[in-house]
Amino acid sequence: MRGDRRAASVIVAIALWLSVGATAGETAGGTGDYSVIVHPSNSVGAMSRAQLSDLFLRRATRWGNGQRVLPVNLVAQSSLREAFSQTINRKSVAAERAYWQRQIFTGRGVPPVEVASEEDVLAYVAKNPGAVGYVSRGRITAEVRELEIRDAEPAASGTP
Amino acid sequence: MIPGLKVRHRLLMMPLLATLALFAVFIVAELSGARNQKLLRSLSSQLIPALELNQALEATLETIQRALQDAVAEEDVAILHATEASRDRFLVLTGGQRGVGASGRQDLGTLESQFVAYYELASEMTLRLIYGDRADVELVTTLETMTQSYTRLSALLQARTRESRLAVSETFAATVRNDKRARLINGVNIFGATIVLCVVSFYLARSLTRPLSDLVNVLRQSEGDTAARAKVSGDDEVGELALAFNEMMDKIDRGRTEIEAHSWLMTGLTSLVDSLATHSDLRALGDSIVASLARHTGALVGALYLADEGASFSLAGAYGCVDDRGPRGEFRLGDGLLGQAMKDRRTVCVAVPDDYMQVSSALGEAAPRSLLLAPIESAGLVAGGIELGSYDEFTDQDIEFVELCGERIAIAVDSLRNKIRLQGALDETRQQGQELERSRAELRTANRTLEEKTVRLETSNRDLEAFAYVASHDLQEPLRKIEVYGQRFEQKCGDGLNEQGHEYLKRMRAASERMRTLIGDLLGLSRVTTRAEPFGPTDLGKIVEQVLGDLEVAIEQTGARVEVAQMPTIYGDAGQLRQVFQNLVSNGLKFVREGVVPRIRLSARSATLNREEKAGVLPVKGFELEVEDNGIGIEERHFEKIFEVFQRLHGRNEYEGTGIGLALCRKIVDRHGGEIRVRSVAGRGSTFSIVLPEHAVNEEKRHESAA
Repeated sequence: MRGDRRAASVIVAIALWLSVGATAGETAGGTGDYSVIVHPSNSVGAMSRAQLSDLFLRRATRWGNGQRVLPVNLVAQSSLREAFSQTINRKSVAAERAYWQRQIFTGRGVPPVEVASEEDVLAYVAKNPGAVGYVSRGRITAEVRELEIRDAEPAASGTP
Repeated sequence: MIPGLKVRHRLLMMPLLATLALFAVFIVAELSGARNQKLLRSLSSQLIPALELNQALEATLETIQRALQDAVAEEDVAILHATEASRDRFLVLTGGQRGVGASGRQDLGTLESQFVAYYELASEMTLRLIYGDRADVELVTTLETMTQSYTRLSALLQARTRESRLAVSETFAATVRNDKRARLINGVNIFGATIVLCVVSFYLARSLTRPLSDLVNVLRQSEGDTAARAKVSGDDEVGELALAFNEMMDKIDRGRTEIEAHSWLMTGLTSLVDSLATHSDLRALGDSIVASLARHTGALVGALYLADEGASFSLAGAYGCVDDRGPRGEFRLGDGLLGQAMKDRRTVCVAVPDDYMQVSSALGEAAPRSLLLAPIESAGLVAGGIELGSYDEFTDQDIEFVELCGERIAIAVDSLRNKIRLQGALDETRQQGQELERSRAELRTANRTLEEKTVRLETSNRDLEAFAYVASHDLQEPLRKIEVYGQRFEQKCGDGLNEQGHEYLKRMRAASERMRTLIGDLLGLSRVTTRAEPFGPTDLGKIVEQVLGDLEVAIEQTGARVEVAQMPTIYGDAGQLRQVFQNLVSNGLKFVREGVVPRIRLSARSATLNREEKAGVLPVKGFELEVEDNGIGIEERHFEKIFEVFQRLHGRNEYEGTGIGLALCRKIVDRHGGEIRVRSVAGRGSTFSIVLPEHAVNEEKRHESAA
């Protein structure tokens, strides 16, 4: 119940913010080494890093239209996964793993699905309308749409 | 407050109420205590173990979950295996509590199966995570199933714990509530009891103090008014006090009424007695009596009847009656009501029939309504009767008063009758007394005249005596000259005288001789008083001897025989007593009968004579001396005359003498307080009897001492 309510409030906040951002058209372009992608039917055009992090850490579980958010991660061994976790979630993959262990065993949630390759990411996103994922820059296909992240930092500079 | 209850019972109500309240408090405390005990027992035997069990289950689940995390984090299967102890413990906990109850058992059964499902899934997932399986869709779905299973289990346990906790806290709250309620009830109880006790004490105090203060007020306000009565508020002690007070007041009232009645009676009697006192007329007395009775009893008419001689009674007094239709003038015993009352000797009180005698005033007339008929008794006899008529009923007091008056009226009437009789006798006596007084006054006048005459006589006597003395004294001088010059004339010129001249001379000298004797006797007579000697003891025998000596010559010449008996000694004037005997003896020698040898006998014997004293006449011891002769005697008619001066029975030629001797004797005997008398038969002799007191009191001295 409580989780649902919080999720609802997050959704409302995102919807508001997105509508403002869309009309302003402030920033454009990708976030360093990777591009965040969504299903082309997804109406969301841009979001902040924290919003994106919330999606991947399963703090927000539904899109503005009510569709389940289905984040998709690359396996832990992937370097892109490492960069994405560092820049978006501000955690190392190991820290994410510990986070998810705690979440799992305390019954609070389960981690996003992990796929082995970027192709699998593209396929997963193309297949699921509520999905959100990331691929290396330049590998975006027409079957997905890129989601603009406004205040993403370059992965290199963000990595210690 | 509860009027029928005695004060001591009312007072007992207070501790009774207090005890009841305490008992109620005790009961409430006991009940609530028992209930709390029950609650606490269930708390300790069921609820707290259940809570502990749930908490233990929760803690065990938490331990398992943490151990699984650790196992994944450490990638150590041993840790996973170690969780089996916790799993077993969980199962022991759920299995060990199977006896709690059917629903509880069922719950625990569900819990156990859920836990077992979760644990199997969780340990599998843990292994997969430890081995680093990729989080593909299948794994994530299974993980999701596991997390949901955990969440359900955890929620279930949490709910159980919450329920247990709730049950514990509710039970505890119930205990507290219960306790609070008990305390509230007891508080209310104590408060109520206190209020009730206060009210009860207040009313009790008021129920005590109000009648008492009422009583005090009644007492204070009564101010001696004995009609005051206290209000009797109930039959408790205060009520009894009020009753006792009222009884006392009744007694005082009765006493006062009696005193008033008595005083009324006394006042009536006093006024009756006052009205009785002043009358001398029977009718006036009667009127006054009836008026007094009527006034005192408030009667308007009244009549008094008194017994006449005989058996009839006549009207003796009336009050308020009209003359023409007034009371009957007379009746007999047994006639009419009053006659009957008098016959029965009983006071009667009757209501009056109509057309009875009228009471009249200037404004009109009316008949009295009530009659009082009372007899008057005196010394056991009916002396009369009283009838009184009034508009009001006569009271017992009136009857008592009239009866009381009866005796006094009888006495007053009797005494007035006696007084009237006595007055008659008294008037007679007074008349006699007046006559007596008149005759006494006459006597007094006569006495006074007599006294005056006596005084005059005494004065003239004294004058005469003085004159006699002076005359005889002064007469002696020219007499002596006549004698002397007569003697000288005879001696010197006698030769020249013839026989006739001598005869004349002789007669002249004889006359002068006689004159001398006369004067001498007169002097002697007057000397009895003027030359008196004081009294002393006098031997009469000696005196008689001397007298006989003096008269020796004469006795010899006459050849008389003189017999002298034993003579006493008395107290007197010796010279004068000698004169007495001299005169008497010489008289005896002088008045002798021709041819009869004179015989004179002197004797004395004791006698008693009466002496006049201031205090009256006293008998005095004395002697009777007698000089008896056998001479010529004295005729009885001369017995007194011979003792007077110059009284001579015989001519000078027959017997010589001056006629003074016996007068002198009497005077001397008088002076000695004695008497001299004569007994005689003419021609046979005389006896002169002299009675003299033994202790003659000097006449002069007696006068002096009297003066």
